[in-house]
Amino acid sequence: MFTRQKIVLISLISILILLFAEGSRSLMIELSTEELTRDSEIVVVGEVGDVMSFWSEDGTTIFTKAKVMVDQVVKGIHHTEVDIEYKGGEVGEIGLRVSDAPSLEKGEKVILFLKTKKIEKGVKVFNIVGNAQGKYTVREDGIAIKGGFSVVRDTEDVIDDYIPVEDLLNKIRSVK
Amino acid sequence: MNKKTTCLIFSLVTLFVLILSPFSEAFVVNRTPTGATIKWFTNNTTYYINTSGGPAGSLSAIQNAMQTWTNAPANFSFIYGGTTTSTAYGTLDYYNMIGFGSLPVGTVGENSRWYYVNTGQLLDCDIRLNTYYSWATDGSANSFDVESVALHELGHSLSLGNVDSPADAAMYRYISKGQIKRSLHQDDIDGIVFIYGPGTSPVYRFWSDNFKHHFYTMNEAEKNHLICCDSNWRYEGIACYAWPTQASGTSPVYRFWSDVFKGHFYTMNEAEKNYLICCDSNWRYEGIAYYAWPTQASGTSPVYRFWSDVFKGHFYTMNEAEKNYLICCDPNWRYEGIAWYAVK
Repeated sequence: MFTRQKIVLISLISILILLFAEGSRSLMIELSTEELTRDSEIVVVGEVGDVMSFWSEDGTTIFTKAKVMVDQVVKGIHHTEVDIEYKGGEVGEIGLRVSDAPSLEKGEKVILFLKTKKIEKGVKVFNIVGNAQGKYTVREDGIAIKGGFSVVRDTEDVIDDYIPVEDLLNKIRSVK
Repeated sequence: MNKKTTCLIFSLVTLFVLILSPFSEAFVVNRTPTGATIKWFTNNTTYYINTSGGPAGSLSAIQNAMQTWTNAPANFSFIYGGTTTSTAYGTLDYYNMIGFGSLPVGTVGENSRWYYVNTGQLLDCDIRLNTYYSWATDGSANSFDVESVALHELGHSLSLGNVDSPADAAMYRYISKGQIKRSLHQDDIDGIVFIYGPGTSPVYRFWSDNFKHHFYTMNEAEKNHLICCDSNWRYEGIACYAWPTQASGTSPVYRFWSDVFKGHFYTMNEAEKNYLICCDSNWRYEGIAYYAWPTQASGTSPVYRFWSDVFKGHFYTMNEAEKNYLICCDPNWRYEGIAWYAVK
């Protein structure tokens, strides 16, 4: 008797969870994993190391540079670490935020879609493809969560904004 | 299922809905790492518009987007400073500009905000719409709508962040070609009111022992004149805060004067106003006193209306204790209901 009641209770709560989850995600329209992969030179899984913001040489803007220790290269040639640069950050008393820019925090586990921005002293410095959309944050439970802001697609496509890491990596590897 | 279990299930489901509901519609405010709200420290900021690279009608489309935020019932306005040829997007030059230009694929519009790290004070906010995509101002299905995207990006200039829901909010993080979203959702309004406060002015309250009537005005000159020079009226303080000009969602409160009753009357009811103007010679229409909400909006409270057969006049109050006292204990006054909603 009580088991049946528990089943009803669990079912009701599950339905509710599914309803909420669908409601918050079903209208999202983003760059697809295929597009991000095709536009990337390398795709890596890694952990964010030191992060440092600085003024541009001409003093007009602030950039942030982050070092990422690579655990796995999913696409592209082997790297043990990569340098990434994006617009925005805080230096002294001045801060700059750019609405579509990614943001990396030291210690964060990430999957990044990258393209060469420049070569500095013989070392490649990468951009994140698709701005914040090209960054997945990897949670401890093995789920990858996509970044992303006011971005667009012509059609409502399959979205991978909340996906088990292995599923995402398999999707990336399958892109020809 | 027995009664106890049904009750338990119902309680759990209700609790779950209550826990989740605040997150289903919630504006996002940008903050510094120390927790300070990033915002303008003034109640307005000026934008210059460069329409080069945009479609015909871009200037008025962007101005409309600015006006939509300005019309929100918050203490903040965007000011149109004129057109510009500047393309200095994203540089700290203390010159806010909106223009068209190149951005990475996938980004339809972008906002660069400069601020003081310690205080959160905004210094400069530039907006760029990506010329990689096609733009229109006529709702064309194959282009992005300038006004809709400008509205979203201007929301960032106010320090509002992107939201995952509601999908019809201006600050919803995604937009499609042909999609028109030129008005604010209540969630957007709640956001700007949260950051900048309600855009209201005080309504002053007077009492006349001679006329046995209250008088309410937002007009500073009128208030000052009565205080200094008209012994018929005694100043009682601020009755409420309301809008001196029409903000989105507000309606006019009309003011009448009666030489017969020696008192003023205020109403938001159009039919009542029209009847008094056309058919009741006791009342003379004096114009719009101020603007208020006909239904309850975020941050507003009811203004209660009373009528006195003894004094032949109306009385309005937001004070709950005063209202309750009149209802319970003062036979001179008859409660007529909620007149409108204003800010305490």
